[in-house]
Amino acid sequence: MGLYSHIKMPGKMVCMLLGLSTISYNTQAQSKIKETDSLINQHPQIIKIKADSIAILYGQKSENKLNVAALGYLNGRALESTPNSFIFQGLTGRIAGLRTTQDSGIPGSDNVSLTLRGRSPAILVDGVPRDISELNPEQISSVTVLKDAISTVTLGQRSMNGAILITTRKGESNGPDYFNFNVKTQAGIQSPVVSRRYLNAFDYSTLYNEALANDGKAPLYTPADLQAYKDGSDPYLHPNVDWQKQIYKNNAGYSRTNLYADGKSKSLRYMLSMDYLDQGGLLNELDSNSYETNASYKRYILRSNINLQLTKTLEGYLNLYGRVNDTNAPAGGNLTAVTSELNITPNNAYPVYNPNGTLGGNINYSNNLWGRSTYNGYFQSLTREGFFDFGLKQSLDNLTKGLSIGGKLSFSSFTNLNTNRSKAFGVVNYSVDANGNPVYTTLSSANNQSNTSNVSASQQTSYAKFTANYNRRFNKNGITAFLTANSENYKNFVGDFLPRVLTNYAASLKYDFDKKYIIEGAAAYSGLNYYVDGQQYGFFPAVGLGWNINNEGFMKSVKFIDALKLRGSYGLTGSINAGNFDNQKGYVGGGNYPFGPSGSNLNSLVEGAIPFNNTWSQSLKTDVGLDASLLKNQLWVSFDYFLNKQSKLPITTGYDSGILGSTYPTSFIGKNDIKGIESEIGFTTNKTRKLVYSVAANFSTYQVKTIFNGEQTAGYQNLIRTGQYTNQNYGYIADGFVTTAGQGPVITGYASKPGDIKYKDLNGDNTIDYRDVTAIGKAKPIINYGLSSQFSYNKFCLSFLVQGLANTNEMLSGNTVFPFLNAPNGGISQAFPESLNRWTPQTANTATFPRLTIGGNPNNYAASSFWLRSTSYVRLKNIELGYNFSPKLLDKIKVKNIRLFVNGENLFTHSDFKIFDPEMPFSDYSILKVVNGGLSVTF
Amino acid sequence: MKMKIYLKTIFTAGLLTGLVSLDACKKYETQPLDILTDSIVYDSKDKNGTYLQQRVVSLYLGLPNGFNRIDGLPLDAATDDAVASSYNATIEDLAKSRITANSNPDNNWNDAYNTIRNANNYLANELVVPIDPLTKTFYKAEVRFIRAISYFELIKRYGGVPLIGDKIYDGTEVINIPRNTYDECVQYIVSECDAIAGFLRPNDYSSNGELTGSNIGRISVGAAMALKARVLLYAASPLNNPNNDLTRWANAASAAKAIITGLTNLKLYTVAAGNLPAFANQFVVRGNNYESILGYQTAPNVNLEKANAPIGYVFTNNSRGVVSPTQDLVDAFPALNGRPITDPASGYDPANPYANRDPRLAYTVFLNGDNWLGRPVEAFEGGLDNPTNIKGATRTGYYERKFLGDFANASSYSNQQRSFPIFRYAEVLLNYAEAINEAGTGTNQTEAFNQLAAIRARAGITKGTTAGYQYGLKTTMTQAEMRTAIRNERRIEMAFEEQRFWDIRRWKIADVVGNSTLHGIKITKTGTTTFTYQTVNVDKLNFDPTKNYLYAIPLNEITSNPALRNQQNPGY
Repeated sequence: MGLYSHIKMPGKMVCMLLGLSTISYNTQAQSKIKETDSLINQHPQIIKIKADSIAILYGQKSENKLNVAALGYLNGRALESTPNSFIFQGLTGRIAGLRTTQDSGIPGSDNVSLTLRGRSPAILVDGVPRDISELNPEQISSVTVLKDAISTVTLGQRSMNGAILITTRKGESNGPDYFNFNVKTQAGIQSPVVSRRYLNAFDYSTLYNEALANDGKAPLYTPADLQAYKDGSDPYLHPNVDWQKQIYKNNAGYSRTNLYADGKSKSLRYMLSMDYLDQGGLLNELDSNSYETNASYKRYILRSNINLQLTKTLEGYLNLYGRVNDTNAPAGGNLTAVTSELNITPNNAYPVYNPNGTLGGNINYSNNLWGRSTYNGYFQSLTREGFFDFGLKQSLDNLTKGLSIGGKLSFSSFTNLNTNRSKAFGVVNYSVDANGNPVYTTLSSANNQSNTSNVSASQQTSYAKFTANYNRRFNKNGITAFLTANSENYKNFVGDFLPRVLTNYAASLKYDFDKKYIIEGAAAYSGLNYYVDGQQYGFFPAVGLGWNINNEGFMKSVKFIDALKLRGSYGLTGSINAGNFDNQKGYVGGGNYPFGPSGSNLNSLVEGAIPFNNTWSQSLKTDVGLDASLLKNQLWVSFDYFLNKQSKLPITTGYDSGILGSTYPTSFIGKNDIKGIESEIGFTTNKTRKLVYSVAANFSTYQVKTIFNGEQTAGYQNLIRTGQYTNQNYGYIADGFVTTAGQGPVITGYASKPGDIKYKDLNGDNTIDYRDVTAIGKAKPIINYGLSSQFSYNKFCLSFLVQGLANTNEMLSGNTVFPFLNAPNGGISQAFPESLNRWTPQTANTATFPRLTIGGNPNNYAASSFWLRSTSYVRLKNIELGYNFSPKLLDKIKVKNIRLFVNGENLFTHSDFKIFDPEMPFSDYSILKVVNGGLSVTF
Repeated sequence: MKMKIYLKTIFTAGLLTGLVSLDACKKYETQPLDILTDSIVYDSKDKNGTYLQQRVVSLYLGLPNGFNRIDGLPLDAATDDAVASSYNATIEDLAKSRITANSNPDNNWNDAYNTIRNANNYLANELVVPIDPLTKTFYKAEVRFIRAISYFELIKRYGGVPLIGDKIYDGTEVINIPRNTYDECVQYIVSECDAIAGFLRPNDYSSNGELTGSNIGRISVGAAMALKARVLLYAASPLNNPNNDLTRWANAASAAKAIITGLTNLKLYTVAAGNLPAFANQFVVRGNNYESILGYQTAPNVNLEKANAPIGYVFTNNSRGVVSPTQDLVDAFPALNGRPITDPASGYDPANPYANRDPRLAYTVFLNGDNWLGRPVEAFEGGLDNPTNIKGATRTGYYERKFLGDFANASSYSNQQRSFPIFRYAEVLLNYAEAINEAGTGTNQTEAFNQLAAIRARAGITKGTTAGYQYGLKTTMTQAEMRTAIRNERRIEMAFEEQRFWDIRRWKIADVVGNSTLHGIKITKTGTTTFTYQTVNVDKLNFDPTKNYLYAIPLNEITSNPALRNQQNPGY
C-alpha cells in the first residue's frame, strides 16, 4: 500500500475540490494531507485545492505566508474534467485576471487565446519558455499565473505580459518507494453550440425580388419560380438545399485514452504518461471515398520525467516530451474556406446533384459546395514536436548551508508537414430547353488527383540556464535568494531568419523578519541580439513588500481572522519587439514588368521599408493586494488592484503623410495604462461529515486607456482616440429610418429611400461622413467572472463551473450578417432570418432591419449604433459527476480505485446575442458542446 | 575530506558552466548578410547594371494601368458610358459621387508619391553605376518621365499637390509642405517633359528601330511629348482655365502639333488582321505598332476576355461580363456614313439599330447578334448572354468588347499581346483638334476637321459624296459645332481608355452629364432572327458641381501634414 495508505481519510469521501485557486492559507482539512506530486496518490477522493507553497520561476517555491506577489494557482486536477484538446481550454473562468477566447471549433484549431491583464502571457513549462498547449491534464501538477512585476521581472524582456508557469508531475520525492499505474479512457459527443441560420429558398427569392424592387429594378424570380421554391415541386431547377445540413452533421466523436504511471524506487522517481486523443470533425463524408475528407485531429503525447539522486548532494533530471499529431481536412487544408462558402451559397443556388447524378452548379455558383467538401480530395498535416530538459542540481550545504547551484539545458524541435491530395471535381449546369429536353452544360471538369507537399514550419529552440539558490533562516530572519544566467536561442528554418538569442541575467533577494514583514527585490539585465549593438540590453528592477497583519500583537484578540496580509509590488518589466533586423535598409524584389512583343517578364527591385531600430516595450507595474483567511480557514478572500503604465509601445506617428512615399517606420513611443481589479473568494467545509462541498468565485475587470498614440487629428475632436479606452466602439449614431425618399441625413452622396437608416448629423453639415463618427455607447470595463463549486456525498461527487463575460460588444458586419452582398462570379450571398424583419412600408414601425438592397449598401451597412450588439454571456462551462467504487469491493480485486465519470462542456449558454456564439461571432464552425463519459482504473 | 568536497563542487560547477556555454559558442553572422543595401544595388563596379535595370523596371510598375482597375471595373463604368453589371459595386462611389476624404476607391495619393520616391531614389543613386552611358541616359529620362506622369495622375484627381522635387524624406521629419498650385504643377511636369525629350528613344518602329524587340514598351520621345500635350490641354480646359486664356489653348495646340510634325514615324494604325479592323487590331499588337506611344505592358493573357466577354460564355471560357456599356454610349456612335443617328440622313433604323453603324461600335461593345466564340451573342431577354435567372448578367443589353482579341470564330481564348493605351496617336490628333479649335476661329476649324477626318477614315467610316459633308461631318463647322463633334469623337474613339471620366470634368460638363439618367436596351426576340428594341432606364448618376470636380485630399494627408490642414478641396 505504501504511501497510498496515509492519504486515506477515515470516514469520508471528499471529492475533487476544484477551482479554488486563490493563493491563501491552507484549510485545516487539507493540512493533514501530505504534499505530494503524484496524480494517483491524490486520486480519487481528495484533491488539494491549494498548496502551502506553489511553484514560481527558476525552480523556486513561494510559501504563501511569505508571498508578496500577485499569483494565481490551479491544481492540475482541475483540468481533468475538461474534455478538450488543449490544456488552456481548461483554464477558462478558473483564475481571476486570466481570460480565454476561443474563436473556432475546428479540430486541432480550437485552441483558446489567453489574455492576462490585457496582454498575452508568456508560457513556461517547468521553467522553460515554450509556446505549447498540447499537454494532457494528467501530466500537469499545477498551473501558476504570475501577474505582477515582482513575480515575473526576472524574465527580463519576457516579463511584461505576465506568465503562466506549468509544472509537470515528477513523482513523489519523500516517503517510501511506490508504484502506481492508472488507465483512463473516455469518449464523448461534440455538437455545435450555435449554428448560423439561413433563409430557405422561398424566403430568399421573395426577399431578393423585394430588394430589387426597392432599387427600382425588375424582379429576378417569377411568381411561378417562387411557388416552385415554396412547394419544392421542382428540386432540380428550383432547389431548396439546406447547405448547412448537407455539409455538416449534427455531432462528432471525441475520445481520449491515457496511460499514466508514477513511482519512486530508491534514488529514482519518475512520471510516465502516454496520451491518445481523437477528435472528429462535423463534416459529412462521402461513402464512396476511400479516404477521409472530414476534419479530424489525432494526437499522441508521450511524457517521461525522471529524477535521479546521483549522490547525496547531486540530483539529475531528464524530462522528455514527444508529440505527433495528424490533422485532416478537405483539400487545401483551410476548412474555413469551405465552410465560409455557406455564407455565399443561397439555398436556391443549385441542386446538390443533377438528375443525371453530376454535381450541380451554374454561372454564379460554379463551385459546388458538396463537391468542395467531399469530392475535392483531402489534406493532411503532420506535426512533430519534441523536447527534453536535462539538468543537474548540486546542493552546496557543505560549503554554506542553504546554498545550491543548478544548470539546465533544454532543446525543442517543432516541424509541421503538409500534404495536399487534391483533385478537381466536375460541375455541370442543368437546364431544360424549350422542348422540355434536359440540357447539361459543363462548368468545370473533374481531374486526376495531384499531390503537393511542403514543410510549413520547422523550428528549433535551445535554452540553457545556470542558477544559484540560497535559502536559509537565521532565527527570526529569513533569506531567500537566487542568481541566474540563461539564454534562449530560437532558430526558424522556414524563412531566412538568423537565430534569435535572448539572454538574461537576473537576481532576486527576499528577506523577512519574523514572517511578519517581508521585502523582496529582484532585477534582470536582459538583451536581444536582434537589436542594434549597444542597445540590446535593458535593466528591469522590481520590489515587493508584505505585512502579515495578523501576526501583530494587536490582532491576537480577533479570533475569527486566521490570516490577514497586505502586500504590494512595483517594478519595471519588458517585452521584446524582435522584428527581423528592421534597422537594415535593403532592396527587395517587386513585381515583374514585360517588355518586348512576347512580354518576357523582367524582375524589379524596390526600396524596402525605411529602417528603424527595434527595442523592447515596457510596463511600470503597480499591484496592491490583500489576502485574508477567516472562520477557521474555511473562508478566504483575496483582492488585487493593479495599474500597469505601459510605454515604448510600437506605434506609427500621426505625421505619416503619404508624401513620404513609403511605409512609416515604427516608433517605440506609444503609451497606455491598464488598470483593473481582481478578486477571488472561496469557501470550503472543514468539518468531518458526509456532505463536503466548496464554492469559489472569481471576478476581474480591466480597461486599457490610450495615453499616447502619436495621432494627429487636425482639430477633428471626434477622431481623437487619446484618452479613450481601447474597447470603445466608434461609428455613426443611427436615428431611425428614412420615411420619404431623399430624406436625410444619410451618407454623403447617397440617394436615400424609405427604410434606409438615418444618422445623427453631429457637425450640422447635413451630410454624414467621417466627421459624424463618434464613440458609440460608453466603453465599460470588460468583466470576466467564474463560479465553481463541488459537492461530495458518499461515493458521488459533482462539480461545475459557470463562467461569463460582461460589457463586451461586437459591431455586426460582413456577409454573415448582411444579406445579398456581391459574391464571386456575379453571385449574391446568402440571407438570414434577421432580414425577415426588414423595413417595408407595412412594418415601418416594428422593423429591426433596414430596407433590403442588393450588394453592399454604403449607407445602411456602415458601422453605426444600429449594428452594435452586446455579446455578454454566461455559460455552464463545465460540469462533472463522478462515482467511486467502494474500497471494500476494490480490495477484493486488487485494484486501488475505479472511478466512473460523465462530464459536459459548454452545455448551456445564456446571451442576448443569439445569431452566433457570443465568444466567436461571424465564425462558421461553432465552438462545441461536449458530453463525455469515461472510466478510470488505478492499479 | 573537505578538499574532496571542494573538488567535487568545482567539477560540478564546471559541468554546469559547460552546459550553459554549450549552445552559446555556435557562430552565426551577427547581422544578416543577404540584405541588398544601397551600395550593392548601386554598385560603382557593376558594368552590367543588372540591379540598376531592375530598379528601372520597378518604376514602370508605377505607370497607370486602366484595365478594370477599380474593384474589377474600368473607370469608365463611373461615367455615362457604362455601369457595373453587379449592383452596388464599389465603383458606384465614384459614379454617384459618394467620395469623401476618407472614402474614395480611386485614391492614388500614396501610390503616386511612392512612385515619386522610387524615382528620386533612383536619380539620387544611379550616377555611380558604370554602365553604357547611352542606356543610362535613357534610364534616367525614363525615370523622370514616370515621376512626371505620377504628378499628372495626382493633379487630375486632386488639383495642385505638393511638389517635392528630388527630395527623399527619411521618415523621421514632420512633412510640412503646402500644395503647389495646379499651374505650378503643370509647369513642373512640362519642364520635365521638355528636359527629357532629347534623351529618350526616338519613335522608330521599323524593323530595326529603337522601339522594337525588347524595347517595345519603353518610354520614348513621343511619350514625353504626348504627356506634355495632354497636360497642357488639361491646363487649358475650362476647369483649369476659368478665364479661357487663349494662349493656353495655343500652347496645347502647338505641343500636340509638335508631335504630328516632328515625329513622322507616328501614324494612325492601319493594319487589320483576321476579323479585327485596324482600329481594334492596334490594341492587341505590340510589334511595329506605330500608333502606340506608350502602353502599360502586361504579360500576354486572357484576363480581359474572361472579365468582360458576355456571361453566356462562362461555361467554356469563364467569361463574366462585368461591364455593361450604356445605350447612351451606343447612341453616340454615328452611322456608317458618319452622320449622327439622330440625323435623318444617317439612315439609322431603330428597328434594326446595329446595322450600318460606325465600325468602331462593334469593337467597343458587344451587340446582340455579333459573333463571339463561334456563336452570335444573345443579349436579348432570356438569351444565353442575358438569362433571366442569373445574377450579374448585363444590365443594359451590352457588354464591353474594347481591347479584346479576335475571337469571333475561335473556340477558346488565347493569350493576347495587349497593353493598356496610356498614349496613342489618335489621342494626339484629338488633343490637337480640340486645342486648335478652342484657340481661335477661321482656319483653326479646318485644321481640327482634318484630324477628325483622319480618325474617321481609319475607323472605316465612309467619306461620302454629299456636298459639304465628309465622313458625316460638316466640312465647315463653327467653333461650337466643332467642339461638339470633337467631344463626341473623343468619347467613341477612346471609350474605356480612362479619358471620358476626366474629360467631362475638365470640360466642366459633369454637372449635366454626371447627373444624367443612364439607359439600356431591352431586346425581345420575336422570331428566329427578329427582335424588338425598347430603351429602358438602368441607373442615375450623381454629381455635385460644388465639389466633385476634384477629389477630396485624403483625410490622412490633411491630419498628418500640418501645411495641408486648411488646404482641403472645396466642399469636402
